[in-house]
Amino acid sequence: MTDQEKGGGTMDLTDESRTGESVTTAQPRRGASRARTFAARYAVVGVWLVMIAAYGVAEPGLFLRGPTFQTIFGSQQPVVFLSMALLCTIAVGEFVDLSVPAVFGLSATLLPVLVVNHGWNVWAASAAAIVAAVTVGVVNGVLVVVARVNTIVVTLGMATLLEGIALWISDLNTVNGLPASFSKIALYEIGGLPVSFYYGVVLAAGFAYLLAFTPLGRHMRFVGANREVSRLSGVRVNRIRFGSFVTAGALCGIGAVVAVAALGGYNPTTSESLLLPTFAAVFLGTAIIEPGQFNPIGTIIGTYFLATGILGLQLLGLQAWVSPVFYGAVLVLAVTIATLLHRRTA
Amino acid sequence: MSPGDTEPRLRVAGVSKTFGAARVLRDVPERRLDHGLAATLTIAENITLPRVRARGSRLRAGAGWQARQTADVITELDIRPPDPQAPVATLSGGNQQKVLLGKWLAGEPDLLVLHEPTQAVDVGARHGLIDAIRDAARRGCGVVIASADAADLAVLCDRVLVFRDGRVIAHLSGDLRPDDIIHATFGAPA
Repeated sequence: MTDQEKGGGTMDLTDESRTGESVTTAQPRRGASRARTFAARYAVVGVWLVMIAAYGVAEPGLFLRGPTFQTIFGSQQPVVFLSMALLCTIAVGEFVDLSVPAVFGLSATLLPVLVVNHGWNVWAASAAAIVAAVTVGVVNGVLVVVARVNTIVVTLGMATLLEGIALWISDLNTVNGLPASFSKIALYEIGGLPVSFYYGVVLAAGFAYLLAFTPLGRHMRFVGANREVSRLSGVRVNRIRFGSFVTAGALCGIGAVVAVAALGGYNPTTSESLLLPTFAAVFLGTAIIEPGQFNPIGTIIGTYFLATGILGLQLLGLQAWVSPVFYGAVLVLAVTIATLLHRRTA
Repeated sequence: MSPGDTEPRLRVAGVSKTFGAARVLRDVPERRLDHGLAATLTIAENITLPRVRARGSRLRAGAGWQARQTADVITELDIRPPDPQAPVATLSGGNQQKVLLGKWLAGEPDLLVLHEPTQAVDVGARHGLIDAIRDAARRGCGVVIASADAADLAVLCDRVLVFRDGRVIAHLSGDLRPDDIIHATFGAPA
């Protein structure tokens, strides 16, 4: 309307000719790019299916059985919770929170220690474990957001510190002996899988919804994409960054309670082994569903992709060394792919 | 007003007021992807960002008003390609500038503060940007422009203050021609 009022005849003519041009060129390009987008989104899912088929051929009668998939989908809850915690801070542009496995380890150690060694009620101990994790999140947030210390250095130091504390309060021992009824919150079976599997699915789906459809999620993605633009658009950047660290802490704590319930106890020396799977899943996730973007659904698919790969190799008879080799290789590959994808869209 | 101010204070219609950053357009063309738009996110997401909290509910940003606002901006400023889901990085500089202006105009601001609004854009985009700014002024929005482009100032402004060394050295108003502004800027100090 305003164009017609204001623009002269020549202006309209150039507009029309430009429109015609863009229509003729855009159409085939759009079709090709749609196919390419589909390929980029689901390539990893395709590789996953091929991998399952390959293992099925290589290990007939061993891999393609119910228990295999129960193991894959029933065993990754710590990684799912930790990768969602890591996503909280990565989504708002914090590179990178190395402390998530150690926060998880602290909570997972504290819970059985309080119950078994100090006679606490298991629910009170669970609450205490989560509060401890949230407190670490607050400290991380204060150091990174308020004091503006480098994220990697803060969280690396925090990780080592917390691992030490976990070893100290447990006297370097595995702490076992939680009441059997407590394990129900993690192991209660629904459709052949433990309920904790569904916690992870609901968590990832809820996180994905938050990012895609809520004002908070939009703000988080803008803070992740460009802090200055967000600040100038009225987004409370530091509040969101701080909240991300606190939420990450809470997710580590809740994940620890679920994991300890499943295991019946905890060995504090195992926390470190969760770091690589968590990072590998989060970075592999950037090659799934939303190429070039960190996203929760891609991350949870990545988690089970990795678990499938490892289990298949172990069933082939490969020893314990296979797991670090596989996770390390996938992390390097995934980061490379993510960087290349990001460069193409940016 | 320095570009670093977070809370610019301006007197509009005799009332001195501090404006929140959300109501003021900050427009630094040479760094529009540093300060104005998030390149990896879409046209629609960038345009509606300043209003998702006020317009949406806590659990839902709301698709309808966002689609309408985005479509309005795309039509009014003639943004190409007219695809709300296109990442801002894929647009030309002129179209990015239109998205940036549209992002703030869609909020129907009381005041626009523009810094070099047409710098580094092509002729067609410049035309569109100037039309949009004039439309906003006609609807009652105050417009303050800092620019070194005499042609822009002549076509857009009712009053032009020429600054040199931090002081106003000339005060022009009425029907302005670019030459008047250039002369006042580069002529002998009064």
